[in-house]
Order: sequence, then C-alpha cells, then structure tokens
Amino acid sequence: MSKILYKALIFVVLGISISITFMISHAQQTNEEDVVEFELNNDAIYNSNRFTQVETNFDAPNNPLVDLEGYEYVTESEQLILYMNQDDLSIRIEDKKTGYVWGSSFNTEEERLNRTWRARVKSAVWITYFRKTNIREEIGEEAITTSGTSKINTVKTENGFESDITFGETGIKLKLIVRLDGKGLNVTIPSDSIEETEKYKLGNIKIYPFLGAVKTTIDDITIPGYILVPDGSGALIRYQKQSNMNGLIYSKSLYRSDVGLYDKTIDDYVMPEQSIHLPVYGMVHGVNHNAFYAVNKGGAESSRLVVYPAGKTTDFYWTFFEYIYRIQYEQPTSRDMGSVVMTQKNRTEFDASIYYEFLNEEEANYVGMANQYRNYLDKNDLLNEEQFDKKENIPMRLEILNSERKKGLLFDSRVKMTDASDVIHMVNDLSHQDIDNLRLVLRGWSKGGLTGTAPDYFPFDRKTGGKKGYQLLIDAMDELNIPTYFQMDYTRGFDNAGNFNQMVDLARRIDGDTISYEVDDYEYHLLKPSSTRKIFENTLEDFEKNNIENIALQSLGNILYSSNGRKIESRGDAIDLYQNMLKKYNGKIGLYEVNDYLLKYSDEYFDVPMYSSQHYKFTDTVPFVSLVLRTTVDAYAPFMNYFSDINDGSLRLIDYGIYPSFYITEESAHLLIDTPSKDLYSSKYSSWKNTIVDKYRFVNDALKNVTGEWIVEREVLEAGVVKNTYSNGVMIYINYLNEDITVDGIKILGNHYHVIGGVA
Amino acid sequence: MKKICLIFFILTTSLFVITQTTKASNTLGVPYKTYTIGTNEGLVPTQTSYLPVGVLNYDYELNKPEDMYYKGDYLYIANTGANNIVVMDLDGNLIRFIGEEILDSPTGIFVDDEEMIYVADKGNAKVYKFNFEGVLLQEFEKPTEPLYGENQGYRPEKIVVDKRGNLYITGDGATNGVIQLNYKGNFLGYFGVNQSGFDWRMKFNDLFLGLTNQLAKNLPPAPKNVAIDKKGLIYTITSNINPSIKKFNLSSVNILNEDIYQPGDKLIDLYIDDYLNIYLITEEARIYQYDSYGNLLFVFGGLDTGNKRLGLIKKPTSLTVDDEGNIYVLDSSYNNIQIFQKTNFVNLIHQANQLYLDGDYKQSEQVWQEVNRMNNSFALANSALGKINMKNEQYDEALERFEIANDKDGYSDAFWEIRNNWLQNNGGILIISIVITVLLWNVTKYLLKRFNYVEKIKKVGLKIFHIKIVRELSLMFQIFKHPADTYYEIKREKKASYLSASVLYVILFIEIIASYYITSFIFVNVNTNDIVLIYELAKVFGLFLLWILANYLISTLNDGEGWFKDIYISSIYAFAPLIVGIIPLSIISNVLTYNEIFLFNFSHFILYSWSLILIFIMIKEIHNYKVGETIKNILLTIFTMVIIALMLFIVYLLLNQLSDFIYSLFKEVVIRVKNTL
Repeated sequence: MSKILYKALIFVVLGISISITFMISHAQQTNEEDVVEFELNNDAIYNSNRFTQVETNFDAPNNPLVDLEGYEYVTESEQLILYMNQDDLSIRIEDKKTGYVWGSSFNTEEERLNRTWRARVKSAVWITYFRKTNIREEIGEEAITTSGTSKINTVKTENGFESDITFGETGIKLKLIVRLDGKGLNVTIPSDSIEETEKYKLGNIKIYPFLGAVKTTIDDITIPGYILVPDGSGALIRYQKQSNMNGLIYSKSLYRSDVGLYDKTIDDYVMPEQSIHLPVYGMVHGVNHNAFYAVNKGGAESSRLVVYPAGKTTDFYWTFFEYIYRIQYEQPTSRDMGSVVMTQKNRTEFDASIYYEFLNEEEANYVGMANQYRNYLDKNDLLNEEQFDKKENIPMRLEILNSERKKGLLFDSRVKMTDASDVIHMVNDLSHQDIDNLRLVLRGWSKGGLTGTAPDYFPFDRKTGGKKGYQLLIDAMDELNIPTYFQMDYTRGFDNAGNFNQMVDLARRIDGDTISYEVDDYEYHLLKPSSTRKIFENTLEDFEKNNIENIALQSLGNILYSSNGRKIESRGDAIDLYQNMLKKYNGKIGLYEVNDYLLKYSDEYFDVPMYSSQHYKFTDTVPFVSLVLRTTVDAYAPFMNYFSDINDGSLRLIDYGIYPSFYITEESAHLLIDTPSKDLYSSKYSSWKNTIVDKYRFVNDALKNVTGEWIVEREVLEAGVVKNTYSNGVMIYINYLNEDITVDGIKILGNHYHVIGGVA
Repeated sequence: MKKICLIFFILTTSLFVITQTTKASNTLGVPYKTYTIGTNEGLVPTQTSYLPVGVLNYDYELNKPEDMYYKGDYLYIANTGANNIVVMDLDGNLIRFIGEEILDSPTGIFVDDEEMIYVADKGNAKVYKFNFEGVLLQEFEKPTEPLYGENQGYRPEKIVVDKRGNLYITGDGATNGVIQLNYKGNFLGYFGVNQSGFDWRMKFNDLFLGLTNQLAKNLPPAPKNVAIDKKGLIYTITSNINPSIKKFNLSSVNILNEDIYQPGDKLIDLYIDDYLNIYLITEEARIYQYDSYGNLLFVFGGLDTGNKRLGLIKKPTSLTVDDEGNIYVLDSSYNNIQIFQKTNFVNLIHQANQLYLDGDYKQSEQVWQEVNRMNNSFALANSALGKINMKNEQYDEALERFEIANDKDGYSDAFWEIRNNWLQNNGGILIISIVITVLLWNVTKYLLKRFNYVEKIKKVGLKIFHIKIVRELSLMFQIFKHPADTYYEIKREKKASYLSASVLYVILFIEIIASYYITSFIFVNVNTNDIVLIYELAKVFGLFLLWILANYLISTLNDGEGWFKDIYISSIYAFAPLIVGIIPLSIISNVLTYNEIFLFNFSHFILYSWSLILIFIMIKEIHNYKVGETIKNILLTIFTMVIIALMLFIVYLLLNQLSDFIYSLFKEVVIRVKNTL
C-alpha cells in the first residue's frame, strides 16, 4: 500500500513541477532609439560660488557710522592709533597711513535697532549665561551696557588698557586686556580672570563682535568689500544688497564640532561640510583700501566662527569668534528616545585671545591677508622649518593600496591590490617618463590590510611582500631619494584590532558613551587623546625595528575631540598631546587636511581643500588655505582619480598652486567592490599611467616656474579666467573656459594656461 | 525548550544591531555623493555626474511652487501659493504671470508644442488651457460621462497632453489611474491603472490583530505624477508599489523593465528627455537617472539641513531638464530653483549608451572602455563591453566582463558559445574518452573478478560496514528504495542514533553553504559575500528545531508513537535526497546555461519534493498513522510552528522592553550620581 502511495505521490509531484517550470517565461525588451550627440557648453558654473568672481568695485570706503566723537586716545604704534570709550569699552582704531577709522561699535541712533541690540552693538563684550532654576537651566544674555549697573575698572597700560568688568545683572566677572602691537591689536580674556556666581554660569563670550560691521539695505551697500571665511579652501561673502538670497547666519565650529560634546549624524548621500582648518577670518572695507584679519590665537578649539549677513535680524554684516565655555547637551536616559537636557558641569578652560592685524592698500584683500597671516605664523614659530631639497620639478604624491580586508564566511581574508615589488616597478616606470620627484604613501601594508587594523600595525603583510619585500622597497626608494610614507591612524581603535585596551583607552562622549562608528561591519571607537599619544609612542620601537622612517597619519591632522570620562581631556589638551607626540618624532610626517596647530609638524600637507562648502551666502570660493601654505609646506590635492572633470581639476591645481595626487593599485579596483574600500572605483596603474604622466606634465610645466614662491596678486579677469602673479614676477594665466580667449594681448587656449616669465 | 528560546532570542537580537557607516570626506566641492549600479547589483560610489552650479536668480518671489516645466527656452512654474503661473527665461527674467485671479492653487503645469499652457488646478478642481500670451482658452471640468463615476472625485494635480490633444490627469485619490480626456474634455477612460497590491503585513495584521480597515484595503494606489516622452508614451510614478516607475504603450501596458532599480523613498516628480532618459526626484531630494531601458545610471543629491548649501534641496517638488541637459529642481521650501550641470563623465556615458543602442558597437566600445577605466565597477559599462565582445566573438573576454558585471543572462550566453565551441572542437575526444572509460571499467571489473579481488573488497567493505556509525549513515541510501521499511528499522530496531543523525544535520548544513559557492553563479541568487554564517545557521537549524519540537508536541497529543528521538533522527533521514544530490547538482550546474535552466530547476525541485514525500512517509511510519491522520498531523505541526515563532517574537519584544527599562534605570542613576558629585 505504502509503496503504491509513494510512487503515486512522486508522479503527481513530477507532473505538477514540470508544468510549473514550463510556465516560467522571459521578459521582453523595448524599442530602438534615435541618434544623438552631446555637447558640453555652459558657463553658468564660472559665475557660481564654485569659482572666484570678478572684482568690479574698487571704490574707497567711507563709513558714516563710525567716528571718533566720545572716544579718548589711548596709545599708538607706528601704524595705528587706539581710542576707547570708558563706558562700554568699545574701541576705535585709526590707520595712520590711510586715515581710515575702524570701530568695534557704531552710532546706533538712526538705525533700525531696539534697546537690546543697541547694548549689544556698543559693548566690547557680550556673554550668554545659564541660570540655575529648580527645573532646568535657563539661557540668558548680557552685554556690558544692558543693565547700566555693570562695574568697569579700567587701567591704562604701556600699549593699551586692561579692564575688570563685573556684569550688572549676573555678577559674572572677567578681565579684558587690549594691547596695541605694531600693525596689530591683541585682545585677551584670561581664563583665571573669569569668576562665576553660584546662580549664573558662563555660557559663551563674544568679543568686539561688531568690529568692522558693514551696513547694507535693500538698495544700497555703504561699503564695498567682503568677508573672508576660511571654510574649506576659503570663501568670500561679498557685501550685497539685502535680499532673500543671503539672509542666513553662518556659524561653524573651528576644526569641526567636537564629537565628544555634540552628536554627529552621518548621511550616506550628503557629504559633511568643509572644515575650518585655519582659525582666522577677514573683513575688507574697500578692496585694496582697508582690511583686517583676525586670528583666534587662544581658545580656537573652543570657539565658533559666526557671520551675520545683513537682512538677518539687522541691516549689518558682522562677524566674530564666539568662545564657548559651556554647552547644553541631551543626556539619553533610554535607548530609544528619552533624554534630559543637561548643562556641562565644568567650564572649559582657555585664555580667549584674538589678534587683529590691519592691512591697507595692495594688501587689503584676501591674498594680502593670506600672505600676512603666513608671516604671522612664521613670526610666532608655528610653521615647519624643515624643507626638502628643492628639485627642478614639482613633487607628486602617489598613494598606494597594498591590501584591503574582506569579510569571509568564517574568517576575513585580504584582497591583494599591490605587491611591494609592484611599487618599485611603478616608480621605475614613471622615472622613465622623467617623473622622479615622487612622494609615496603606502596604505594597507600591515598584517590585517587597510581597514580594521588601527592602531595595531605590525608586522608587515606577508601577502604583499612581508618584511623582506617592504625592506627592498624602502631601500630602493632611499636610493632614488623618494620619501616613502607608511600610512597609519592612531586616533581610532577597531574592535578586531589589538594594541589598545577597550576599558581604558576609549574616548567618552559627554553623555558617557564611547564615540563609535562603523565601516562596513567593522566597528571602531575614537581613542582618548592621551591614549593616542601613549600608543603611538609605544609603537616607535616597532617603526625602528621595521626600518620605517616616514609616516603619514590619516586623521590626526584634522580630527579634534574631547574625552569626557572620569578625567576630562579637552580639545585644548588634545592639541597639546598631539603636538608633543609629533614633536619628538624624528622622521618625516605627512598629515591630511591639517589644522593650523599641527602645521609646524607636518612635512607634507595632503588633501588640501580645493573647494568651500558653497553655502548660498558665499559669493566666491578662493584659495585662501593654499595661498597661506605657499612656501611653507608642499601641498597636495585630493586624489585626482575622483575628479569628475580632470582637466578642470588640473587647472584648479595650477590656479591654487597645489601638487597632483593619485591613488593607485596594481590590480583592478573592481576587486574592492565588497570591501570597505569600495569607494575606490578606479585605480589600476596600467589604466591610469598615461593620465598620470599627462596631468603631471600639464601641472608641472606651469608650477615648476614658481616653486618656493608665493602669489602676490590674484586677479579674476573675467568669469573663468584667472591671472596669478608670483613673488618672482612669473605670471600664470588660467583659462577654465572651453573656448580660447585673448587677454592682455595674450591668447590662452580653452581649458589651458599660459606662463609668462617662466624658465620655459 | 528554554535553550531553544534562548538561542532564538540571541539570533533575533543579532538581527537588530544598528549600523552606522562613515566615509572619509573627499574634498571635491560637491555636497552629495553620486552612486551608480555596481557590479554587485547594489549602489556603488562613482564620479560626480552633476555639479551644482547655482540658484536661478530672479527678483520676484515664488510661493510654495509645486510644478515646473521647460519648453522652448522658457521655464513655466506653477506658483501654487501665489495662485498664478510664472513664465521666465533661463536667466530668471520674468516674461509674464498667467492666470492671476483665475487660479486657485495650481499644482501641475504642461506646455505643448504649440506653446499652449495646461494648468491642473487643485483648488478649482479644473484644468485650464491658456495660450502663450496668457489668454484663457478652455476649461476642463469633471467629466459627466457615467463611465467616469458620479461619486468619483476630481482634483487634478498633475497633467500632460499628447500630440493629439488628449489630456492625462492625475489627481488626489484618482485610484482608477490616470484620467484621460480628449481635446473637447470628453472622458476617454482610465489609463495605467495600478494593481491593488497584496500586502503580507496587512494580511497578517488582519488575521491576528484585526488592525486594518476592511474598506480602505483594496484600492490600488493612485499615480503620484505623470510624464510624456516625445513619442507620446505616458510614464507614471507611484510610491510604495513595485515597480513604482512605469512606461505605458498605447494599450496601457507597462513596457519598462520590471526589475528597474526602486528608489527607497517617496517619488515626487519625473521627466523624460529627448533621448528617453528618465529623470526622477524623490522626497529625500535624490535625483535618479535611468536610460531608456530602465538601467539606473546615477543617483545623487540630498536634503539640506538648513545651512543652504549649494546643491542640496529642502523640499523638492519638481524637476525638468533643458536642451543642454542641465537639470532644474524646484524647491517649495526655499522657493527657488537650483541648476545642476552635467559633467563630462555623464556625457561619456550618455554617448556610449546612445552609440550602443544605435548599434555602433565599434565606436561605443571605445567610449565604454573609457567609462570603465574611470570606474571599474560600473556594471553597465562592463555589461555593454561584454556584449560588444560577444558581437566580436571574443567569448572569453565577454565571459569575464559579464562575471564582473554580474550580468547573468550575458554570462549564460557567452558560456553557451564557449561550451558550444569546445564541444565542436572536442566532441570527438569527449565521446572517445567516454567509450574508453566504459571499456576500462568493464575490463577492471573483469580483472577483479578473475583474480578474486571482489571477495577481498567485499570483506573490507563489510569490515567498514561493521563500524557502527558507517552502518547507521548508510541507512540513508536504503531509504531511497524502501522508505517505509527504513523508518521501521530506525524506530523499532534503533538502526540509527543521535550521533548519526547529528552528523547528517551538519553535513546537510555544510552542503547547503558549499552549494552557494560551487553552483555556477548564474544559478545562485545569493551574493556569496553577503552570506553571514549565523543567519544561515539560524535559517537551517532554526527551522529544523521548530519542526521537530512542534511535531513532537503535536504527536504526543495525537496518539503519535514517535518519541522526540525518533523525530529528530528520522527528520534528517528524510532529507537524504538533498544530502546526496545537492552537491553533484551544483557541480553539474557549472556546465549549464540558461537554455538548460529547466533541467537545473527541475532537478532541484525533485530533490526537495522527494524529501517532502519522505517526510510524509516518515510521519506516517514513525507515529503509525493512517493517511488522513498524517495530513492532519503535518498541518497541525505547521500551525504550531507558526504559533511558536509568534510567541518567541512576543517574548523577544518583552525582553527588549525589559532591557530598555533596566538601561534607563541604570542611566538615570548614573546621571544622578554624576550630578550630585
């Protein structure tokens, strides 16, 4: 019985399955299309804030809002005279050469301002505070003249004045020190002069926020010029008539916001904004007439750069550094949504200090600011002094991926992309093309491949050469005098890596959590700044053992966070720790997107920002960062493989004076598709070689004429056409447009450049 | 039971780990990333395809504009909040306002070849037709035809018009599809009706929780927006259905590839350019671009978080494309229009694709090579190059390309050619070698017999067979011939043990995993890189555990004679066909192409159904049931499995709540302590 049943069942199932599988059919394709030709020709982009715009207004400024009435003489230097007002401590600075008067406040009588705003404008210092109540902390603000009961005790000093201020409402005390110094003005609030009360705690401080404020209305601009914001490569906010286009505040933490204090969400589609790497801003009153730039030299790590365009709350463009001493944060109380708002318990300690330098005539523009700021850095010993031997040709960075990790069913494997010996071949191959001034950066050379190894790097990866292979590589490069950098990262610790202790080495957010991220299933945590230093220093002997001399540190140059565990390490502490950690290192150090405080220790500056964040309120993108870097450190572009238009990008390299970079592998990049490096979509040496040679020559032929020189004048002749004049008299005309163009009697080919006065 | 719960709990919790990814920012002045379809069928990053070049500058205000259309050098904007139509040129110069004091929240606009302007007005529930000068020519009210339905609403939102003057209107709740009117306003019928979907979750809610509203349930979703191409074909987009993008021929049949990449969020607007490329924008401000076949070329764009960064959009409502291929996006929150300019990379791809579609393979090969050089993981480039290789009869190269591109159809075709060539060249050798093998086999057999080796082998065989585990395992082969007897032996004569069964479970699991890797990639639907061991374990063993447990529980209540042990052992023996067949089948699949897919699928089917039949027999024999009882037992077991799974899910939810509670408590204490210190 059961046998028959069994057979019958088999037959039935057979029958059904045959009919089912026959029923599956294929989808059809659609129809044919017409012939088509494409042409790219649109100049709109050169008029956008992706490029620098033509300067049209060179009128001299005349500021009716600022005069010397009611101000008393304090002191003077060779260039400047300082005046002050005893009641609100506002100041006037007169430029002896041009006679132009700068004011930290202006006459408010006829302006569209209420009482609160008038107090804000007049006062030298304006604070916000947290007031303790039973339920939660309330936020309030007070300027010196808000209450009329503030006590000020001013003492004149040799070259300025010092004032002890006690705010009338809150009773918070602080000391303001103003000191004239040649072309500049120093303003400081020492940390130990700040006294808070039981009830009122200091939130943040704005110092002379209205210095250089410019009024515009719907149909008039009182003073022509712009604000320089070092966002990314640098951006300008030109003073414009009020309209709905520019009415938004710009407010950004210097060196990105502190992930130890603030949450940071990450979007798969939207790129993070450009960072502010240099703690400066500048204001121009009349291009090539008057300008100043301000350096945030104390407490930059704890401040924001704020720009108010006219039309937002007032009729004025004003900009300032806001010093943040305390923040409110959300303390999560459950895993989903619940949280309570808390106020930071301890005030962040730093001496707030700003240096303003006043410029005039040909220096009164962003190029002049960049050059003077570089002098300032040099004078204050903030720049790297070591220099490479200058070669005839410009350097180029080749970053090479040796191997990358790939998830496996049971164990991770590595995808071999470039063998150590392949690197030697590539370098030799390029030297046959007369490209010998290379900087090599190796990634993924260590035992675990690229991702997931930090901060545990030794020994060398056997699959791509092992100690022997890499030793051969190092020796070969030494012989060719090509610096070889081994890339590492000591600010993060991956879960599956060793060399750090999950219990003691991890940084803590202010709410007590670790700061953790995930790259393709590999979770990592940010390390405490002190642990970064400790681990780095413990690894030094491994460097020596493995003959590693030059290192490239991936995130150290641009990441800055506090750790708020049992022992607080502020961003200021982190800067000290990082500086001390690099100070002792003997070999060369390459850093990426370097913040100013590590410029002194970086022998190479990789990934120079080439664009700004392009907020609507920006009118121009300018090469401020790369202008500052000229003559101080070799600056290299981000990888040119990623450029969507490599011709346009190469022209920008020449315009900004930065050097080419490529990210190269021996194998085809499609092997990386299921690895954390999947965003490297094209890197195979053999398919990039011609482009590398072409683009290197293209850039080299222009920039080799100006190595070690700086730009003295940068002029936009018309939208998309730039003329750069260097300190040795060489002029480079750059034509971004597709069509040929004739300027100053010189014909410049479309998408090309022209050098005048070069070595040919 | 406890253990099972625990295991299940662990497995399910591991599914809910939050992932957050981070990438190094590269500083190329574009605020969004660009993706394309990669060789792993997912999105992969690629070069910037469109650059944000600015906001269209004009000195009059838009007010919550909802729609925009580009025609003959002018932009027409449905300025919804201001109740008018704005006509401007591409420099933002105002040409004129239209329909002031007539319109009441116009939401859709279309301009035909004669520059007649059609406006869908939601407030007045009418469609208006103006000429270019702004003179009102015609009004289209709700159709009066009985076919339209008297109770059917009429709230026109978007509109397109074909060359014959027929209007295609979508509207709020127009669930019957696109309303088609002729030039006089007569109702012609509904066009492009969406299927009412069968929603498992809804059914589930309905069945167990009674949550859904019976009435609202079975209406098909209304198309959100409509577009027309130069050939007069109508396209619609509808959120939350699959496929959400449809292209209809004249008889209202979708002719677009149904496997078209589906955007994950709500669709807002679409545009078809002259080359029939499809542009799409979603609520999250992502702009998708497809070629005319529905291959995804690019995705880019993102939402602005309030900083007003060039290239990000706050609330997208419409997009249109000018003659040079620039994309214009309308933002109804910032009340502006942003322009995106295509890069050379896009040009390359458009050019390559177009040349290829035109049949100019030689030219297109060069361009595709360049695209491929710029992005090695661009699936479309690899696939196209593979097809070009096919045309050039370079089958080996083609095979490699198709494998990289994950193009299974292409791979199958290329492999067919290679196999064909091989067979033609080596067919003789193949036959000869088969003949020789057969001969050799017979000779050996004869020789073995001749020299009495057979006996010796048999002896050795018997010796091995006497090892307990071998004997137990070999029972597996017996089951093919005598399933009922074998189960009798397992149950009554204890011819199999926990050990042998466990070994078989492990073997089956390993075989299943191995088959993913061994099977020819055209027959595997799983990306081997995505296999996570723990999930596979959960899938295979979880199901078995559930089955054994449920069956044991049910059978004890239903006078089944089988013990837990019997069920555990017999269940795996029922899968003998799978254990024996799955690996050979996987190996054979490597010489098959899609032409023989029937063979592969059918063999698979046999293996599984055979196993199921054995399960049936097993239940019957183990528990000593009649046929009716067996069926009843199996159905009840399945029901119990569902119930147990549901129960575990509820327990999981409760435990989650509990752990949340403990976490909150802990946090609270920590904060309090920290604050008082």
